This record gives sequence, C-alpha cells and structure tokens, in this order.
Amino acid sequence: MVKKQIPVLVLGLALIGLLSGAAFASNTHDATVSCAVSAINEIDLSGNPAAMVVEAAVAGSAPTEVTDNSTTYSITSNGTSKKITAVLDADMPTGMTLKINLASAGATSAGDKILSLTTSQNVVTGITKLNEAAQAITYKLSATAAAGVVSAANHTVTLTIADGA
Amino acid sequence: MSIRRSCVGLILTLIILSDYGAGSAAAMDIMGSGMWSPTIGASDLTAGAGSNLTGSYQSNSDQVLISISNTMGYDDNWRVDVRRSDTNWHSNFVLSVRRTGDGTGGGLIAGGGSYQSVGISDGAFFSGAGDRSDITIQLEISGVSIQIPPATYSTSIIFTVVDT
Repeated sequence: MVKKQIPVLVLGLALIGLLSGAAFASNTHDATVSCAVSAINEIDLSGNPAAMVVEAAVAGSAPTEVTDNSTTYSITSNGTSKKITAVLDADMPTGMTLKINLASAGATSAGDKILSLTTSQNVVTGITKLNEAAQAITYKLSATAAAGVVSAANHTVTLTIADGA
Repeated sequence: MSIRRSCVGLILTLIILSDYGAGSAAAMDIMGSGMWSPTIGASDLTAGAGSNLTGSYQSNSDQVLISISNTMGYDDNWRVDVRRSDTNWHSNFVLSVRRTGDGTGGGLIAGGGSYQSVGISDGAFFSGAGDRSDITIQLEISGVSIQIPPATYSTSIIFTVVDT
C-alpha cells in the first residue's frame, strides 16, 4: 500500500521543482553604477616674466626695486585645506632678493614672500574646492649697493599644491 | 481502498500544481546585464587648470541590457519602473537613464527615449507588451563639479517590471 503512494509523491515533488524555477525568477533587475572621482590638484602658469634688471637708484638710497606682474597662474583643486608653496632652484647672490606674490580671489594670499632654495614658502593658503584662472603673479627683485655688479642669471621658481592650510 | 487513496492524492496534487503553475505563468520576469564605472579626474577639466569639470558624463548607448519574459503574449501589457538604491552617492549627482533601443521580440515597446532622472522612489520608465529581449539603456551622471570631493560613489539602479 505504501509502495503505491510513493510515485505520486515523487511526481508531485518533481513538478513542484520544475515550476518553482518560474516562481523564483525576479521582477527586478539591478545595475550598479560606481563613479570614482580622483584627486585633482592642477596649477598652471601663463609663462615666464620678462628679464628683471636692477639698474637705477635714487642718490643716497638703495638701488630701486623692480617689479614684474606680467604673468598669471590658474588653479583647480577638489581637495580641502590645500596651499601653494614656492621654492627657488638656487639661492640668490648675496645682497639680492627675489620676492613673489600670488593673488587669490578664492583663497588667502600670503603677500610678498622671499624666495630661496632652502625654504619653501607658503604663498597661498586655505585652498578648498577651488578653481580660478588668471590670478596675478608679482615678482620683485631688489639689491643692496653692497651686492655690486652681478651677472645675469636665470632662476626657476617651482609652485606646488600641497596639503596644509 | 489503497488505489482509491492514491488517486485522490494524485488529483489533489494536480489541482494544487495547476493553481501553482497558473500563478507563476502570470508573473513576468525582468533580466539584464551591465554596470557602469566611470572615473572622473583632471583630464575631465574643461580647459585645464583654472577650469571646472565637465558637468555630465554618458555611458555607452547599450550600457545596460534588459529583457522582459514570461508574459502571456503579445497583448500582455507591462511597464518598467526605475529607482535607485544608494550605497554612497553624492547629493550633487543626478543619475539619469534613457532607452536607446527597442530590443527584439513581439509585442510593443514605447517611451523612455529621453533622459529622465532616477530618484529613490519608483518612477515609470517605459512600457510595452509581450516578451522583449536586449532593450538597450544608456546612463548619464550630471551635476559633476570640483565641489564633489575625491571618493568612489556607488548606487544601484533597480528596474522593476510591473504587469499592467
């Protein structure tokens, strides 16, 4: 008697198994979107300043400082609390000083900073999610009378976006 | 007596399976493939340093493929709704979808040809009737700018077929 009921049960389970596939199929489909935003810290200069020559003086005073504001810089950063540092490729001759000043509409300019090889200067601070173009760069070259006559030389100023307010 | 019991058992089983089968045949299915992982960086600035990022990004026109199956036939109407479920999604991002192809199969398909934003609640996307395979979907992310901090942002787009 029991043996005769088993095929019925097996048949029922088999049919349930076949039909359950349709029952488990889904009425939803998921598609994943994963968007990576990379750190962006870009700075660019418009070009090189003209040659700067200290060649005049008012009698009784130190030689007259010369200024160049013919260049600009542009910056884009999606970071927070960034700064721009400036460093020179070689120290200036004794008695000569080169300063740099970067304007900034959206961050904080540090004003005139003396450039040197050994000390990296913070020239703009408080850069957070900023993009601004054609911000003025001002170079100022000065010399003491004691510097004497100095031959012309090229120097490279390196501007870097770095961490830190 | 035993044969009578077996027959009753078989009939009951078939009745139950008959109802079960009818129910599952009425349930439409949606299946698909495709994901999208764009990377946004400095090369996407509109004009280099000083400029902002390009505001919107589009996937390939066939980034996601969707198929509708198990309908009752050409006159069995359905609608596909769409929503998103965020894992880590920036509030500035606007995620949009549009249908770029009809797919293949009998029946009809209509709507969804223009970009529409995907919210966290279901919104009607497109509709049709009958089984359709490989309906192509294009995705778009807009609202991108440097105001969005560096990170990886993820969300799931959930397509739901609704029997109408």
